[in-house]
Amino acid sequence: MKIRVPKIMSDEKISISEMIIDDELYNSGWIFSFYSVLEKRNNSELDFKENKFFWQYGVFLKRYFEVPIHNWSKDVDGFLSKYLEKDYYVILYSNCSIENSSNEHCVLFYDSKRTKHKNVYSCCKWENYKVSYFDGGINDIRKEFIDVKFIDLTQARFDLLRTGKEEFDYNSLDISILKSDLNKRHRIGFLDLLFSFFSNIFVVEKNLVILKEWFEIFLLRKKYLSIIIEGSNNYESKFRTIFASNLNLRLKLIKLLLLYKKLLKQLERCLENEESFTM
Amino acid sequence: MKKVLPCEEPTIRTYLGDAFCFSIINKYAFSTGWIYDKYIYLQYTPEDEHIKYCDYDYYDFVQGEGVFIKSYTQIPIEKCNSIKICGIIEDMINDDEYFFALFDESIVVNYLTGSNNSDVFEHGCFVYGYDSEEKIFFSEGYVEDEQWKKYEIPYDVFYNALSYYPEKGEIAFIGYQLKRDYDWKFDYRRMYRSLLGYLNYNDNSNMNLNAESKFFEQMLISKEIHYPSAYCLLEHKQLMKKRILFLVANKFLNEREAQINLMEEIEKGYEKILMLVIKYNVSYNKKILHKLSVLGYEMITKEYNYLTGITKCIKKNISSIDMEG
Repeated sequence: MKIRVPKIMSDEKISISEMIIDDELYNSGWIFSFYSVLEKRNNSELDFKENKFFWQYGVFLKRYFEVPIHNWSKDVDGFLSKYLEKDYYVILYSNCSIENSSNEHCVLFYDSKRTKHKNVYSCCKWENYKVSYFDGGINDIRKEFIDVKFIDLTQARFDLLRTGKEEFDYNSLDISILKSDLNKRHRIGFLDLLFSFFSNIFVVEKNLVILKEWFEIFLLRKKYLSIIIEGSNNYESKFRTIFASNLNLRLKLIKLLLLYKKLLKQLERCLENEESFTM
Repeated sequence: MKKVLPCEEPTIRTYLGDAFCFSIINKYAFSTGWIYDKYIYLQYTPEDEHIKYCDYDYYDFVQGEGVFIKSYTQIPIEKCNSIKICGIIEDMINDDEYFFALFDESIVVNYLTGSNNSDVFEHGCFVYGYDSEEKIFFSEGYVEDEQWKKYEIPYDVFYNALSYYPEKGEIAFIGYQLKRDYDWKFDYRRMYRSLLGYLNYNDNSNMNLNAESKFFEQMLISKEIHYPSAYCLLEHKQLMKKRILFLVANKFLNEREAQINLMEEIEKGYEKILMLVIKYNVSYNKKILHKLSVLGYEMITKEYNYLTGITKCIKKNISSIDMEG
């Protein structure tokens, strides 16, 4: 099955949605109704607002599976080949702890081919905010691609996602979703800025990656909405300049967060008057 | 197209969740002895005054045992229709997945009996087969006269029952698929430990023989006695008798040690308790309540003495089996 290169790679679930969502929803810009605002988690990490698999919009049929494992290779091989043949994208989860924060990691299986001796799977995983790809049999994948120590060898957890045109009835960017997200929470206050400054350097680096992704999505959204946001060009160019600068990372993050707030405010103002743009 | 998955008369069927699962595994569970090191502990839950099997819960059936591949699916209600949902259920059955969900049982009872009850009765449902030409699902449960029966439900009736609560915003369901290479086996050490645990009723917990005591205590102040709990007690003793017979057949006990007539007396005692519960719930006669209480405590003592003797014999025999091993 085909996949596309995602714009967001800092969040695995959002990446997957972007990679596999139906062309019509991607090319019409519908998907950019989402990811408009960032939230701050307790550990000061920024995060795109929870709209991970769009199952609630009927875009994907999403199913969650728990598979008891007696023989890892055999059981996982059997499960993957069965559901990939039925046009499901299959996500295998693992739990691991990185940099003192508990994270859930996954591998996306998006294709399989039966060769003479084995099933060969196409899969990908996320590392350092990048997607890496691998093709191989289940034992090659386990040996060379998955860090088995993070995998539960007694019970595997899978999400299965299937797209289908009959599942949805959207064909353009959904302003109501965008407006409601903008109204809800995009306020990053003084304390948040302070926390950003004193955050762990790993968190600062991750937040910079997320802000950059958010900015790219912001530009795409603007393009799909065909709108001119008053004064935004100035902020956008500042955003690019600061991002490319050699500033101290913490300082850079604070400056970018201030610009993020300003850009969102401009977008919100622009959407208040719906007649000022065309869809 | 028609596909019907194996579905047996469940031996464990006090509660729907267990009953549906045993419809799938009954044959394997009993023929291999798998069941006999499980379903020993009982639990009394004071909040609802029920007796139930401990550790074996509907949604986490035999947790950690790895009997089933489980799936969970949610679909937003506005994206649901009969064709789509029934199609997904057909796909599940084609994949050897049994379908579990909550539905409005009244809609199905109305269809089966011609009654016209408009009250929603949220209850578990189970589908083990379909016939897409006749547009029917094959199901089972206690829908009529408290009798366990198999029945057929047309797609449209089933969909109406399933979409009974649109305010939830979704239709959600569960799939259970039997793990093909599951190792069905009997663990006599685990059974022995569980029997000892069952007999330990000096800890004032709500477990095991304490659970039974508390259930009989509560009877004296409750208006209506929970019938399924009384049935659960009887089923537990029926299973205990089968367990003893299995132990004899597999030489963990000899016939003299097993004293099966004593176990049959206990079983009969609980049959009588069940009958008295039914009578009491109709008449609320205080004399019946008194009889129930006396018989209940008598049976607890009898069972305690009987199983204490059995565990001693098992211990002796297990040591000799291990020596031989």
